[in-house]
Amino acid sequence: MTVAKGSGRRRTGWVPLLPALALLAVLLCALFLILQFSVRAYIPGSLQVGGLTLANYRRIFDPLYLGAVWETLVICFWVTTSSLLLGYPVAYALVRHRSRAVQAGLLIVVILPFFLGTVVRSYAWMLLLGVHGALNATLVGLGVIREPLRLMFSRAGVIVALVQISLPIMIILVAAGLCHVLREHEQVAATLGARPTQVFLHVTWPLSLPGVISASIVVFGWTLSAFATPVMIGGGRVYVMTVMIYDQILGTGNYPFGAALGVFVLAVDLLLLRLIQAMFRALRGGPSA
Amino acid sequence: MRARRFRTHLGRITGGALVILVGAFLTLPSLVVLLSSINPTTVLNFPPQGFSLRWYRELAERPDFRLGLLNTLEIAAASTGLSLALGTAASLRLYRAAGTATHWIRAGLLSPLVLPGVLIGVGLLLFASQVGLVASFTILVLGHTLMVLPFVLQSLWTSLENLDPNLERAAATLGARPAQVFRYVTLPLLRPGLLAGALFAAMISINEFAVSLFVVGRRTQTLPVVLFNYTLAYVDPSIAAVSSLFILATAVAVMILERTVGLRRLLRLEPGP
Repeated sequence: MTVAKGSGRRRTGWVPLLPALALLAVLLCALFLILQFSVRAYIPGSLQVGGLTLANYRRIFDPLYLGAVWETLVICFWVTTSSLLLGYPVAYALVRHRSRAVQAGLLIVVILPFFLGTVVRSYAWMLLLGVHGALNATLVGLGVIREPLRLMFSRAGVIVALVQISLPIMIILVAAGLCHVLREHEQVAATLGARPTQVFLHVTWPLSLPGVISASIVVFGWTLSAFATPVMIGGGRVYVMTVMIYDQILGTGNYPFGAALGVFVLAVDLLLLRLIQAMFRALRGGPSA
Repeated sequence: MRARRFRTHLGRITGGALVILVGAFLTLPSLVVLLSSINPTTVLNFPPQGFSLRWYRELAERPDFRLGLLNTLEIAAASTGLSLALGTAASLRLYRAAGTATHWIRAGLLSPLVLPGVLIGVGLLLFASQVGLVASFTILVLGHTLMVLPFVLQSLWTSLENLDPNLERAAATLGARPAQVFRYVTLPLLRPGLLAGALFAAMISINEFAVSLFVVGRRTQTLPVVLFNYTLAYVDPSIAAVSSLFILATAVAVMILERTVGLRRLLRLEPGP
């Protein structure tokens, strides 16, 4: 037996990994090229790049681009908090509802939009949010509002669409975390006389925090990288970081500056994820734990 | 006591109402798209003015949509096949020999899950321009394989965790050669993971947008890219018809996943050990 196991391992060695390693090498090359282009001079009208320079990074501190950073952060904040608030009860029902049929149905409702691409979903929101769109038509028809709301090309519209887009992943990850909260723990607390709100606040919520943290981090990161939605719903008026990269690369063809913006976005992304992690860790060590 | 029971009841009702509202919020956009696609008028208005398949018929006459659909299906097939082959070989090796190197390789292969897609797109565009692959199918398939591989690795990982290595050892002891053990023991046991991985990969690839946008050329445009450019220029309901096809295809894929592997198991929504 040991012979078969040992010889099998020796025979396979690193060979099965080679194709995956080659693919990984392409990814690393691609990321390295971004880094390399970001410190080269831009020659207008040419895809060739000039000598070494830090001018691309200096240009990021222009108010226009700093504004885009701020806009991105505001959107990420609202999307993450709203999808957590809306998603938590759904995740709870997904794991804890008495009826298996309700759980299964709910899972389908959550998972369908998860697999639908961002372009299709953003298009759906264009249909909903337009001046003559479904939402305005319904609200005007019901007499709730007299004039159609301006939701397209606004930050609010982008946020609403992005909340719908990030809800499925938020719900799935929070539910995965809630699975590990054993029902027995809650029952013990209830037997000892805790009211349902107390059980939730002192047992369920603290124990579900790991899931909440990873879900929030993923949603924050996805929203930061969201691209189709700000372009399609924001229509150029909601200027976020990914849109400015797109403008530089596919619009003006300024690869060096676009690359510098890319490095900057990645740095902001990593920094913020660290911050959120630290924040939640502080929260977990707080009075509720 | 009665007040408390009343409060618990009230809490349950508001909770239920919230869950229903969120469910509606998640579903409504797809319903609106489906309704728009069967609306006979050019101007989108609600509620629909009747029923017609006019926009679906017009799709067939649009060469850009047809080309986009063909490209999308070809690239999805290629990247699904590639990621399954790559992923099976790699995850067997990564799972069996845990170490620092294998840990970093796995982290690297999973990193496209968290890296901004736009960044990978820009990087691959620069890479393509250096090695002469601009606007080629090759760079698109490479990009898609990178994006879908994490999903294949994750679903295979779940299967590997449930695979009893004693079964393989038993086969080896009984005289099976390593290739036979793989073909007749390992592979059949990994089937659920492979199937889930394939469906995941195909769905992610068909819907992939951020990376594709940067590396497509005029002849290699994928359907989401065609759709994106189209929505920026026109508003006619033929886009609603394409989107409806996406919605229906996704619904079918989700049903297959639920029937074959089970969504709860796949998403790790069962209480852990």
